[in-house]
Amino acid sequence: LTYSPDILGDEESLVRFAPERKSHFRPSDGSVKPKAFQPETRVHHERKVTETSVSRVDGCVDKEIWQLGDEACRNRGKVAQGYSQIAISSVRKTGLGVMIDEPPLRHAVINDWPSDESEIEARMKLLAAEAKFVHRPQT
Amino acid sequence: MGERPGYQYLGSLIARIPAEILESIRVPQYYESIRDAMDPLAELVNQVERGEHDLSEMALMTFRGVVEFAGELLLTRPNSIGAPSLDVRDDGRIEFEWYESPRQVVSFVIGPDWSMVCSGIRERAVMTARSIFVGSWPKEIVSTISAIAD
Repeated sequence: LTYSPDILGDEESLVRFAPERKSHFRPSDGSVKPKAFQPETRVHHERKVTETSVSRVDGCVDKEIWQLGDEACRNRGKVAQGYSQIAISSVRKTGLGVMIDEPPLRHAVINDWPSDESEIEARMKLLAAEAKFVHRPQT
Repeated sequence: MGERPGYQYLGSLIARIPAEILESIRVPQYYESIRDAMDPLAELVNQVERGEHDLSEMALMTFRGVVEFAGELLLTRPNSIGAPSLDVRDDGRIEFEWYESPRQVVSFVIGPDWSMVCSGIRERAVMTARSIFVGSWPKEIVSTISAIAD
């Protein structure tokens, strides 16, 4: 297993849950859309931080993954429809960082985004190029 | 089709074309070319108005604020650039994208201030540009798109 609670290893994978299938992947070829990794800017301890919220799912069985996804999508009144999965090594290759950000359990953020908006957009594309989309099985 | 919000917008754009221009051209043919150019926007407007993109109220306001700008861009697209696909971001901004593959893609996002934030990748090479629209497509945006889109 590549999951260790306190260490973010290069081999570990991160997932970004999608409340809508069509918003995060292209039906034409199944590829991930860059906007799946769109960061959000929020105020944390009186300073602005720009981060993309992700989950660490290595070692989880499917049921646990979708529980994490439903929790992540709950604030939009949705359940997870799928997720974009990417290795931490791929995130770091783009010059971005990853940081554990619990609670909730297994939550992390992609951080160290550049301040320039066009550079942010370019990194979103680089992340999407390395990611794969996993659909939630129909029940 | 004429009752759908996107086509209402299209109709309002055509209504703004000066009469002397309309009289000097073959209207049905011109209408068709405008309709073809505007179709992706009309479809996106209809999707958003049907709630398919789950936008917040604030994002909806932003979206409605950039639709006109998106229409202007579609109507003034340089011939050297192919037709883009359109999408909406969670914050309501509209994205114009030229997609070849995950590693060859270029797009720009437009904002209510008529800004254009452009970025593209070709394998690991990255290109970026940003500008403000003042009636025609900025050269730096056109050259970035041309360098990546086939």
